[in-house]
Amino acid sequence: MNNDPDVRNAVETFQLGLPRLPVAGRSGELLGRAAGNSLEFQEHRQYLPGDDIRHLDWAAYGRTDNLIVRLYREETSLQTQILLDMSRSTAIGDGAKSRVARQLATAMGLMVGAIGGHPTITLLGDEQPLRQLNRGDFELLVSLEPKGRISLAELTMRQRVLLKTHSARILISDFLYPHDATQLIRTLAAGSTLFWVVQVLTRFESDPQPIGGRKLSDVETRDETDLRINQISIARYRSRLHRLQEQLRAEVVRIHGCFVTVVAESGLMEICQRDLCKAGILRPR
Amino acid sequence: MYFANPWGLLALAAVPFIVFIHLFQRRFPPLEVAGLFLWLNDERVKTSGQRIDRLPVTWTLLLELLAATMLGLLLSQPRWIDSHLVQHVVVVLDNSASMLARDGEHLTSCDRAVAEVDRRMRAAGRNARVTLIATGRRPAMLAGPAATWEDAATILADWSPQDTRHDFDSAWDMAQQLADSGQLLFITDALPEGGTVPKTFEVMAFGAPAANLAFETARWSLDPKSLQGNLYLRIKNYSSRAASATMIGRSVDREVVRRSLEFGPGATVPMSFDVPGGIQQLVLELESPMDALPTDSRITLIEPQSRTLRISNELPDPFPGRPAIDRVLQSLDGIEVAASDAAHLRIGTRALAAANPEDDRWRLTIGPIELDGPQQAAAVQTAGPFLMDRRNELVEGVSMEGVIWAGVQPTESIPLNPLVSATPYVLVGQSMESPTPHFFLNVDLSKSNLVESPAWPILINNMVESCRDSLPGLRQWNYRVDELITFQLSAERLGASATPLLLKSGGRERKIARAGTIEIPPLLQSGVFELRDGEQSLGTFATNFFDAAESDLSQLAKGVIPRDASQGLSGFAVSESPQWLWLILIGLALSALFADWAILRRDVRREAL
Repeated sequence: MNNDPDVRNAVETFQLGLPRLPVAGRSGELLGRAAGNSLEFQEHRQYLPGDDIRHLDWAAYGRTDNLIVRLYREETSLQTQILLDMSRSTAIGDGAKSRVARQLATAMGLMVGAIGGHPTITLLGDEQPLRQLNRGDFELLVSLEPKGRISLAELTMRQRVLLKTHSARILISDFLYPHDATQLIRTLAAGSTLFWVVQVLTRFESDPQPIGGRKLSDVETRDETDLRINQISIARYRSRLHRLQEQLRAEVVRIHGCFVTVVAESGLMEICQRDLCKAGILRPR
Repeated sequence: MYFANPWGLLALAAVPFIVFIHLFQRRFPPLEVAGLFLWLNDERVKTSGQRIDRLPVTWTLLLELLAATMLGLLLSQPRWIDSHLVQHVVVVLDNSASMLARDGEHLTSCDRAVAEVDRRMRAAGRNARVTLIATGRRPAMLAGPAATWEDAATILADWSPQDTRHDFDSAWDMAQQLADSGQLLFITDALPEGGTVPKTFEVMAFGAPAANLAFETARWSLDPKSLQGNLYLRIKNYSSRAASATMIGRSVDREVVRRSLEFGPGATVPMSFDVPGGIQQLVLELESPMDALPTDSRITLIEPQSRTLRISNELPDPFPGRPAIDRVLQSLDGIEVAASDAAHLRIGTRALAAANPEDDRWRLTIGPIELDGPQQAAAVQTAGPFLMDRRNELVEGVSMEGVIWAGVQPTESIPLNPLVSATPYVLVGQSMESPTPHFFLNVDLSKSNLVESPAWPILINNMVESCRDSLPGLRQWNYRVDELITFQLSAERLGASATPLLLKSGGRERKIARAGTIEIPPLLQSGVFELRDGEQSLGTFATNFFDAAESDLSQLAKGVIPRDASQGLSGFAVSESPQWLWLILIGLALSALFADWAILRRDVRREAL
């Protein structure tokens, strides 16, 4: 996938949107956006359930009666773990979703490598242990087909995802499986210095149009049902999808991460330029 | 309730098909998605891997099932049975051969008769009963009494009328006795004259006038000396138009004779030709486009065998009448003069009577019975009137007109059965003492003009032929279908066994009682028959159809004579389904189809949204 024209173009055009900290040494070269344990104070914000109470600003509480959390900028290491969903659901449609997901993973990995980091791509499929690709193996992504039947939520619940602590973590998935957003995000974000989430959807998944009666079949669970895809059912679908995305976004934002949804049919370059740059995940070189 | 057309119930097979379609049909095209849970409520998601859904009981399904059921019932024609009615049809079928004549549509009256009976029985329903009677000299019950149509139809399919012209009265009588309260139907090929058919009958005629060519007669004679055969045939054109035909004679696979024949309107063509000896069997066929009836256009003839009669003339020489005897014998065929020991027939004087009484050969004693004595002196002459026993074949065709019977002696001393007498004298008699025929001619031929009258050769010929008939074997080999067949069994074979003889034809056989003289009643069917005693063949003969009345097809006609409703017999009752039932079935079927169409149309519109 290294030689994919879109990937090369994206790598040459964009760089990761990470704040740089001019410090020496391997550790602390990059600053994460998440609140961390470094000594550099970043900001205050309102306490939210789940926040570490050790970071409460008791003095501010005494003055204002408001629970205020003191946030510190965490130092990020060059270790970057890209979690790529390889379940069957990403192969839906004409394969655009799977292709763009792999392109994104490769491009981001190469971008990490371009600034001296050590990227690894963890393939979230049925293989056990999960397969990991180092920078030299990215080309293998070209031939790997998403065939997994185990959803990311299930992998997480079974604790099969080996997460590297103190690493930047990028999660690429469609999230179209039943899950508990809080548990999923907290589990996958645990120990990370930076957590970005990219949801890749097809255009139909993102913006379905009425197409009449269809026998819908879930590509992973094989559940099926007859349904007339009309304005009514589409409205219900959008409502549920929006709720799912908001729950994910809230959890990601809680840990100072970034959540963005992209449409695969837009193409890698447009996604990078429009969606990822807007979200701050990428920025032009 | 029963169904007049049970095959219509096959339409109900559509019901499982409809269920099958509703069970397995994919109403919508498939679409693979990720995150099906986002589209539906949880309870509507089906279990993974299930391919056969529970049958959705929809209005469409119910309406389609209703329509299929109604249509099935409509097609099967439901009827209600009135259990008090006996539905019985007695059909008298004309068994004349002309029923096999083909009309312009190449159908026979026989075909149309079968179709008509079939139609009536189907209309009557499966519970109806039928009795089938074939006309003939001896009416035959083909099916019944009161058989089911399934049984009768099988028999009727093999029915092939072959009889010569005959009266139908006995068949009508039998039908009326069996009909009880049923319907009487007479099916023929020509409308009978008014009043001849009982009024209780409905008459249907299916015939149509047609041209026909037929053999009128066929005779195969054999020259006993050369053993060469000669065929005499007469063929008639039963048409008012000229006709042509080809006659072909085949023996086994060999063509023996072929003649092209031209006939004037209604003309008869006689012909005679020699056939080689030893061919055993000859099949003659007429081929002509103007031949409507095949039955009388094909005959099978069996080659006759020589039956030479050996006669010894033991009259003294000279003796009155001896030359006359010799003259007659010389003029007859199949006669061989033999010595006394080897003769079948001995002709002599009164001395024959005194010969061995156990001699079982035929004898003819020619008078004067007593050459001298008081009886000779008492002899009289008479010119009649003559009284003849016409039942005896010896005097068949004999006319005594102008005969002066002279030298007649009293015969009280000889017990005679008189065949020709002039009261009180027996002129020709048969001895009642002899076990084998012994005839006496009580005449003095030197004084009588008997030998000069036509009666003399006829009388001698009758005796010779009667004696020849007593020889073992068949008397002739070719018969008409309505002719009596006679066979003489030899004394040795008669006493050899008690088992019956067999008469075989094709694959069929029947037993014939063993007797000295076997008389087989008219077989009433054409064919070749073999009489067998165990493994040994006693003789083979053929019967052929010759009947000018049946061959003339010009009088055949179509028509119907209805039954006289005023007669006592009740009509044939068919229970028809009430009209309201048909209306309900049709209404339900149409309503269901329309409602189904409306629902499907509504669904299509919804889908389009």
